[in-house]
Amino acid sequence: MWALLTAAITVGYAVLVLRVAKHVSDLRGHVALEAAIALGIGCGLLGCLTGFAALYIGSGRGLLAAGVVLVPATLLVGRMKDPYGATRMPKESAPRWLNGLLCCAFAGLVGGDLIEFLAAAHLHPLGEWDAWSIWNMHARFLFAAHVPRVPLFSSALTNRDYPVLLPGLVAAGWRATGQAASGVPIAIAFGFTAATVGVVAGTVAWLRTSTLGLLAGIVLLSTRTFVAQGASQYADIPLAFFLATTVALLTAAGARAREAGRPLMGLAGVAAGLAAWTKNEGLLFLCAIGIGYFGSALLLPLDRRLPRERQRDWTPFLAILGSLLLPLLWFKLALAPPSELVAGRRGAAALAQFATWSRYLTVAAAFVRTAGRFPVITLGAIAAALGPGHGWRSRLKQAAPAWMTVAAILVGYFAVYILTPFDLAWHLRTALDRLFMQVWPTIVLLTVVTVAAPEELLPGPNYGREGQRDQRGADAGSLA
Amino acid sequence: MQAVPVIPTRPTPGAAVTVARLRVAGAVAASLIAGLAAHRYAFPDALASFRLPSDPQAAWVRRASAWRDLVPPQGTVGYLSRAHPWSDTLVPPFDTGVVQALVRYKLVQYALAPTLVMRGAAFPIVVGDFSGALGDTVDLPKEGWSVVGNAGDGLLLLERRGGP
Repeated sequence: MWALLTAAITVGYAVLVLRVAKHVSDLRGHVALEAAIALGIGCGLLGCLTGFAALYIGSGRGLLAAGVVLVPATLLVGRMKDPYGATRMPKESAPRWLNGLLCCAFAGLVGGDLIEFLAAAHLHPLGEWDAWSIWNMHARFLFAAHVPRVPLFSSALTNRDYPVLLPGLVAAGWRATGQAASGVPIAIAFGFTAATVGVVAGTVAWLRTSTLGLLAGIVLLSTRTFVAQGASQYADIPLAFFLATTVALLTAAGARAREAGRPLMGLAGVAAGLAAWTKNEGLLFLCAIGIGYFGSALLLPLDRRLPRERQRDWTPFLAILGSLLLPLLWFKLALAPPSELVAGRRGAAALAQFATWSRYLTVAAAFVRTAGRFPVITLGAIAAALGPGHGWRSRLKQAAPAWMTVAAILVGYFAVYILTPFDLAWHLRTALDRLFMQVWPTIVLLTVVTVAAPEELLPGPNYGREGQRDQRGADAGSLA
Repeated sequence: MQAVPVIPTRPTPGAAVTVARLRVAGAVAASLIAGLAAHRYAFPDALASFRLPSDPQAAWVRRASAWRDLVPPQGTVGYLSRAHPWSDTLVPPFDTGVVQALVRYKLVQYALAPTLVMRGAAFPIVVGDFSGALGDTVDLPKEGWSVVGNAGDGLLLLERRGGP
């Protein structure tokens, strides 16, 4: 019975996301992207609601509560009018050899990464240290909760301030299977890893072209620690998924008229809220969005701002984000203890660290070293080879708020390291790689989505027969 | 012999098209090299690891999980360890022994959840970690305890005599 209920609620939320996505006419047909967004956000909503409700009324009733919330949400989405037709605009096609080569490389990397994921799951079925000692440990308490206020906040446990989306999702899976089997967190980890690739490659294919989408997917799958971090069952890859999804949807909404972008803004609000529900860094991400999008808008002189009908409508974003943040604030303020990073900290000690210049050098060196472990050279080579050209500056300008958001996140991480109460070398060694991974899919997405597409540089077999980008109303410098 | 005329279906190759081809080839080559480089060692390692057994932590949890019927599901049990000094978090300064002791403590917490496992012996039921890593002899509490479970490797479930 629980298995059916869990499956029905997960599918319900996923269908709800798809229903909203259907209001974006040119998204239709991008099955992989739609599936990735629906899977990730659907599971995220289930985990967020189940986890929060389980704290008060037990995991079984928490699952029922997630089902109850689904009903008004469905009614609300059902009332949305579809003002757009289902027409899909034709796109140029790349030479067949290029498409074939990239498809083969992408498929090969997917196969290789799949085997590496399965091998890691075989070697470490409980996941790595943080997975079983924090996330799955919390999930065990939520899973077995039969009474209000499960002992999740006992001083015997660590990291009690961490949000409960991932533990809630794992607990819901265990409730469905009837036992705390290690296969559930492994499946969830796999789902978010695959969905992250789907969102990055799918968004680039949607906003630009399929070959660029494949290139973005290849770069992400070539990241050495991507699959290892996914298989570790940590919350960093789910957070990376929500970050990339939020930025992708905000970027797509920015390339549309105000009215047409509303469904995307609403979905972006859900993804941003779920990011905050996944890890504390998600709250930093929300601040970074404020800096990136509102800051860049305020910095623009009045005469260069877009007319109101071309600007994003932030109302759906803020409304949905607010409704997800209220219970999180309640969780943070009323239930959870303060974060280990700030608990018992003295202002004088923090100030002394702030004024120690050697810490800046240490952190900067670690940032450079860690970045070197990611395929930044590959990404730079792609940007250098395909970047300069017609429309690049225009696309960069459109993606500027998203880049500012990423920069603000990295500055935030830098500041956290300067002020960390822990041993700096240890803290850098154990966490920086994961922090970089949280923003890496977004960086790949933003880099590849702005370069010139091979389809535009190398006309394919349909050259001159299919509609050109300029003919379909979106100029070559647009992200849509 | 007269050459057969070719009907062009694409723009005539020129400098611009050559440059465009080079640009695309460069981008594609960079991505393919990155893919090969990333999986050159990881893939063979992954294939080899299927022949290895799973990490011992899963076995440790399985052994401790057998006690779940012996501990109160909503209550708290104590935890004794010979590790000294003790650390509640994996934060330096620490040595290998302390880390191992903390990992075992956390694994017992994980295995017995939702029963809370807290450090100390002021509970009717106590888990004792007397594993050989910190000494070869099992150092039981002196009086008033009976062993109700032995998971091996020095991991014991102790009950205060006279019942909980």
